[in-house]
Amino acid sequence: MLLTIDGREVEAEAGSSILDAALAAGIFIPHLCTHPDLEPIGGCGLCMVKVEGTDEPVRACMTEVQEGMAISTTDTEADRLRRLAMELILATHPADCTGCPKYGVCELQSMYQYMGVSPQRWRCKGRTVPTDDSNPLITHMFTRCIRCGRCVRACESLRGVGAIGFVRADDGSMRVAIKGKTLQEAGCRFCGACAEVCPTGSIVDTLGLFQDDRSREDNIVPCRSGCPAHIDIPRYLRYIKEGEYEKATAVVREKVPFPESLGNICTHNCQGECKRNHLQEPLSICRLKRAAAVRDTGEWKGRVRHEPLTGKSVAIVGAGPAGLTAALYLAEKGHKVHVFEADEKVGGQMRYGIPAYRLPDEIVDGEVATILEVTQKDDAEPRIEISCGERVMDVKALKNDYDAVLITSGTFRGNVLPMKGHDLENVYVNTEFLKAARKGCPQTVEGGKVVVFGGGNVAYDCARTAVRLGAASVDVCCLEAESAMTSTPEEREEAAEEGIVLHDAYSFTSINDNGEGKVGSVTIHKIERFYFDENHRAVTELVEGGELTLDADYVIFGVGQKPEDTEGYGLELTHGPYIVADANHATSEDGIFSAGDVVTGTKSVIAAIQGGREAASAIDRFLGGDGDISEVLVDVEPKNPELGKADADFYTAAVQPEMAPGEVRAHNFDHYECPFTEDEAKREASRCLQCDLRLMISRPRLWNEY
Amino acid sequence: MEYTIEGKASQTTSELLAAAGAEAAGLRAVWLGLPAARLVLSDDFDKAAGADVSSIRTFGATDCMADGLLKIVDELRLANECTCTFGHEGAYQIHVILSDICSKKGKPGDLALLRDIAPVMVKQSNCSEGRAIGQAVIDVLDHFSDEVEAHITKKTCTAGSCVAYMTYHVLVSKCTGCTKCLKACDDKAIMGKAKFVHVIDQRKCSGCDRCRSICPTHAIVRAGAKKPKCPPRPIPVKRK
Repeated sequence: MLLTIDGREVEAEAGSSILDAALAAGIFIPHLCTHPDLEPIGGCGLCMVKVEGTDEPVRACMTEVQEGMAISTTDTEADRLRRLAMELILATHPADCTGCPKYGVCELQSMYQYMGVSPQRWRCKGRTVPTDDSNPLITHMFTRCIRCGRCVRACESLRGVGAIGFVRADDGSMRVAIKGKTLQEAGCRFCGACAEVCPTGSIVDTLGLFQDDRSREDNIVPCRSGCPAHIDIPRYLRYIKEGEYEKATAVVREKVPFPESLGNICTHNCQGECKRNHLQEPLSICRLKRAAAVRDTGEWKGRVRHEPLTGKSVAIVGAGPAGLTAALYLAEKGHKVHVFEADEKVGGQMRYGIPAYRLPDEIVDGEVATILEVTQKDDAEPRIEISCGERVMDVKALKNDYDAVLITSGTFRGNVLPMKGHDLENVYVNTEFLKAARKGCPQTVEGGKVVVFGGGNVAYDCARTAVRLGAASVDVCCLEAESAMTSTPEEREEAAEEGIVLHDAYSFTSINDNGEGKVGSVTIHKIERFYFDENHRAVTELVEGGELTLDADYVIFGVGQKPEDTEGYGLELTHGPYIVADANHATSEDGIFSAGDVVTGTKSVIAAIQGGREAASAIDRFLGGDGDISEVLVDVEPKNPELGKADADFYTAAVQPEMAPGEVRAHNFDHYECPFTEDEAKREASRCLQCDLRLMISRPRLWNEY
Repeated sequence: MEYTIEGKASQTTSELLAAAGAEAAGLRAVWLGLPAARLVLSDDFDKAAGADVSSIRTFGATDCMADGLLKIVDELRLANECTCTFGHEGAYQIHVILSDICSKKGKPGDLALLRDIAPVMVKQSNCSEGRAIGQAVIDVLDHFSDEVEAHITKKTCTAGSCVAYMTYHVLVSKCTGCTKCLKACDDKAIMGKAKFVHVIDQRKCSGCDRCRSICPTHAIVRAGAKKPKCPPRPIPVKRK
């Protein structure tokens, strides 16, 4: 229907309010208590307008448009009332804007600056309410509350929670308060909707929670942004909660081709970012991924991208997570892919670095088979050819037979520290030790005392493998104090259950000869701290009298690993053997790309997968494609924003899966952790705060955006 | 005085007063509580209320209109859960302004502020309480603005019921000249010596009430409109 606002003809939908009609037409009318996603209440009185033919100004938010309506936003009386309303609001609001975390983005501040109003003629006195920062994630500074009620309406009507409401303060005025001593007592879901809709600095995300160098979206959904591959975690956790495991797996599959492998061994940076770290424990996102993947039926396979063959071909050196991921997406884009693998089987670190008790061969084999299956689809010929046992030394020569080359050869050369005794017999190195065990011809440790140097997950993989190979004792020594170790706390806890002893904060003095040219003992020294000086040299401060000698028959170096063979590639390298690749994964040689650990240094399977994705996209563009490897493997369904009041179960710690006890699992390489049962998975997934629902809430535009 | 009643729209103010058991004689006005929400002057006591009435507040010659209005406002305000700006914040400002007026802290522009906000509250409040508060202010100012204004301009409460405007006096009949009040007065406003009737210097007295509470013979009184007769200077205590 047609109406005029300030003489301008405006088209508006029947049933809409004058305010919505004006804002949609780009005509700004001040407003505060109105929010695009909430029922209007006509509380603040800032949106007063005059409708021609009526006596008194009306609230634009509460007045429906009528055909032919003539509206004035500049009417003298309407303007007077608007200013009066703003004066009254400001009279009890703290005057010091600069000390407020919302300074510069505050809707009230923006609005009064627009209106140019001062409350000075009224009795001006703030309503003092102490700041409440006792709750996790959300801080209440109700002294800044302007009683617009947006938070209360959002909590009640958007979320169905009702954890906050109006109460009468000591001075007789109404203000918002938690309906209980704490948010938890009030059944809060910690979804953040209240903070999202608060126009002032009254309800805010606890200071320090959001990081300045991240986008708003990344701050609001930190698990998703924390994942190197940006898997849509809240989305698949919702499916798991509903028991829809195929859909959950499809969501994971949209970003990574190894859901089950990752569900076992991912370094789960997402969990470190999870907002529930501030509220009991983070979600067991990694385990939930596994719970979904083991129940996957492969429904998503029919929706995989399968573009016509381009006639182009790509050679990939190294069949680890980066190489296989790139192979998948390149094949989906229509390119023929030939993967060369130096080892006898594919998988890279997933097979030869990670022990079988964490990731059995069958899982890797199954997921690689799926890659081959979905990329071939109905084609007569497979799009991906894999040649195992072929070590490529001359990568440039591959350019003769292929249109592009991708090097994803990883880091398979273990570091040996140049300390005294490093060249004795029975000194092993992580990569070889783990690979030999995985190949079924392990390096001997049986019956012997083993000392592992290093504090990362790989060091622990070596230690726990040694336990399983029948070592009499296993001691782990590392430079870092336990709190600074890079291995996960669970890893250390489980290792301790298997009888592994940790010596943290020790420097490695020497490996001592037993008199026969073999390892006899190791000497280590307790340190106060260590740091790197201005020349990047490690400096250790020894504790006086802190020397310790451990009997040892075998020593395993678990102190990092680096690329093999790269020196002979003829490509620009950095920090020794690492390949230099730019943001598009291009190396110094045109047509040769590189990704994964060989570029970044030893990172994680998930980081390698993301590297493989990016490289595939870049290579597709290089070959003339559009580089679009995105997939929708399950329709995006509307999210249910209604959470309901939380019950006591919501505030529990993470669900723990069944696991073989330490004394049992220490004697074999069996996969010792069971996937979550359906019930466990549902309970754990139900703990998700669903932070992403907050992104559905509209952001009101400020006047300067009109 | 305030009375809770169940008054009908058809009842006159006189009938409502009778039903409440209140004495109508000598009243200047009666406030009819919600939902009627209006002030009725004594000339109109025989007219029907026009709407139901949940309570009445009577204003006699010694009931200050400003103080009574404050009580009406506060009662409505504390019953109101609406947070609309005009109703909630308007009521808050009126409460503070009237409190100031009744405690000698009124400012020259206060009546203008009240006249500014009250009609807006009547027309634009979302809540009946907000509208009633606005109406109460309008009604009182329409008929008793001089009395309210006197608090600010003349520093007097003509009805004599605002405590802040009351004066302290020593009764000749009771004072024994014990000097206790004299020593207790921080303002040094009490003249006299032992065995002399003490006299309070009104220009110096700040009305702290300490002398009245300390006097062992209850010789010091607080007076509103009617002041007791006191000597201008201390005189010897009469022997009994």
